[in-house]
Amino acid sequence: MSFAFAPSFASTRRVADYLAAVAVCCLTAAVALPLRDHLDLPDIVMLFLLAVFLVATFLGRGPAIVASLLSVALFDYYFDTPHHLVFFGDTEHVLTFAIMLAVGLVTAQLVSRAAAKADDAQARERETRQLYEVARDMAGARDVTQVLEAARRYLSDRRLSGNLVVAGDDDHLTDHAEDHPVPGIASFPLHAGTRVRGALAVTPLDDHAGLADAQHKAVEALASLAALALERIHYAEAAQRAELMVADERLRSSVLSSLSHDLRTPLTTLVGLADTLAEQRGTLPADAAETAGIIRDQAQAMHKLLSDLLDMARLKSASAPLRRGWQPFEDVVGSSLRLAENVATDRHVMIDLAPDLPLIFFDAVLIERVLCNLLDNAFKYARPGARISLAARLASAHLEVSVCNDGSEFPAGRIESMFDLFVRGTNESCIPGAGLGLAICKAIVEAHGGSIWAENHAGGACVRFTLPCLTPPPVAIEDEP
Amino acid sequence: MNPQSPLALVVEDEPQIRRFVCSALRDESCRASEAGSVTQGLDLAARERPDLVVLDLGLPDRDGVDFIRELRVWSAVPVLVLSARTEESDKIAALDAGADDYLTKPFSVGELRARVRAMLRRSQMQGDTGAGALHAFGDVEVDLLRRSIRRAGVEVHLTPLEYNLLVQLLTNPGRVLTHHRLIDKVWGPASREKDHYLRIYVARLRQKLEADPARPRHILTETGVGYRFQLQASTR
Repeated sequence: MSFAFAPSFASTRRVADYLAAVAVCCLTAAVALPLRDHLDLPDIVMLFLLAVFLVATFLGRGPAIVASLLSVALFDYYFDTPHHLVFFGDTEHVLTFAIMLAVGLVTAQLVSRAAAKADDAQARERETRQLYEVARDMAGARDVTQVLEAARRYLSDRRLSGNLVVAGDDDHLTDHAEDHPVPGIASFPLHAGTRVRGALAVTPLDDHAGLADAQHKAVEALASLAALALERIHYAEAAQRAELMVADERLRSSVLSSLSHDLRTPLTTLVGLADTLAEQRGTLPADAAETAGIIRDQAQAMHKLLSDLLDMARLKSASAPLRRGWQPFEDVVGSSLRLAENVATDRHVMIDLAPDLPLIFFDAVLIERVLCNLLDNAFKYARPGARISLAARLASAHLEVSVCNDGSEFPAGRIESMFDLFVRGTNESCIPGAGLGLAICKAIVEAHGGSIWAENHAGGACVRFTLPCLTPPPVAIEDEP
Repeated sequence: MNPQSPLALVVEDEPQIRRFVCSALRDESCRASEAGSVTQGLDLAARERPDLVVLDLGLPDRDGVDFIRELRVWSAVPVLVLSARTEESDKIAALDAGADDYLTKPFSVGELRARVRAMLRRSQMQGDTGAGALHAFGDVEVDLLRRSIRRAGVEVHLTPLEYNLLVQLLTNPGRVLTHHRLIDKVWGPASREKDHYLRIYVARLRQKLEADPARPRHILTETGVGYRFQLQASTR
């Protein structure tokens, strides 16, 4: 029967050891007997001591005790004078027996300790090799699955099974395994660099007694290796993503700029030729000149739409850095008014700028765009004769700018969605536009770290936006003469 | 056409655009010669000595900015740039290289004719009398010789930097002056990072000289590019 085999094999070996011990002693006596008359007694004692030493070294403690007893008995019986007396009579031989026994025991003890140390060293070497192998596997791992495979190989050598929990970028894993232990499962947090990358859960394969101390240490080492591997994979993936994004951005901006050029050229031709025709009022029939004027206006509207779309695409991409500079807000108000009021002579805006506004840090081209879009909208949707106003004032750490009219409110319930792409105030409106203007304003203002919102105020519609007031650079102005 | 009428050189690779630009120029009683590339344009400019150049920046053989640089080595002829690009940096590069004004495509024929008219008038004035010491705009009179500025008859005090800035603007009427150029001339080339000084001083000049500083009529902002001094207040 197989389960009985191991113990019976061990006891057979032990019996053999004892028999060998007896044999060694008998052999020593057999060798020494013919030399009895030529040797001194102490020499013969030494021979027996050698036998006991050898037995202790190679066969262990039990056989050594047997060998010491037998050696004293044989010595007493065959070598001591008078021969063949019953032994253990003399105190002299008690001492010989004690020494032999002591040598046997000490030797056996030393040998077994050395053997244990050797076993231990071997186990450590195996451990180191396995740890090295798993470290190598993890260093070469390209993804989380390969890390898990390497970890599982290492664990299965220890009769353990394990699983990895990997934290996403936004997860915040904490060390709460110690607070909520699950029976049978040991959890090891994967600490790497600045954050916990996940956890390694380990279960013993054969019993549920939990991990031994040595296993615990080994799994801890494994956990730190896995954490490093996950960290490396995380950064490698991030670098790859960034590289892809750069390539993506480059492609996008080159597509945008070639689109912009290729579409603007025919539009320029269209606007220019139609305008040339429209200007020839003297030579063309009146309705032909009028048609030419309509073509020009439509081409210009198309250009506006194209610019809005391209700007939106550019603003949404990361490659559009703001060209910000410190400047008085008044400057951009002046240029925006020049553009907005130029469209029709009856357009007039009331300006209300707070005195002593500080320098503001913004991209003038883009903020001019915001103001022009807001003023255009105000004129487009206002009833005839409405007053349009543009005001700027300081509100806590922000510059608050508002563009208002006094007569037509925003439709209720639409105020929130007005800044979304392609959303317009009145769906069936006959007023031209694509719903891009406010979305562009929002993108620009938010890129500056401000916010934009719409509200109805005193019977009129207002759009307000803020720009952060930062600390302006020092300015040394000359004294007035 | 009268051989005495001014000659304009149009450097533009798109024949349809060239066509209506030339037609607009003829309406301003200019003679027009046409070139489709930088090389051809420089060749024509050297041979025909035009009074005005209308230049597209995106040309097939070389960059339009190169054209301006080479032209400026031997000629001060006014250059009007047509740019399909909205990027301000391209306009600034062209203006810094020596262009006088720019139009962004698409533009109306009316705008083009107004710019051409202003440029021709300017070069004619400078040819006739030079810049001169006496300038007047709005209700302001400036005597550069006596360094005196009067607004509605009342003496206006300017600091030395304000005065220098005003001189730069006055002596380049109608031209777009880039931020860099103005800072170089007034504060010196070492002060390029002092962009905000220029803006503050322009605001101060407007406070002192413009009727409505929030709605300037003479010291105009070319957003993202620079400033333009307009002698005669107009809608544009």
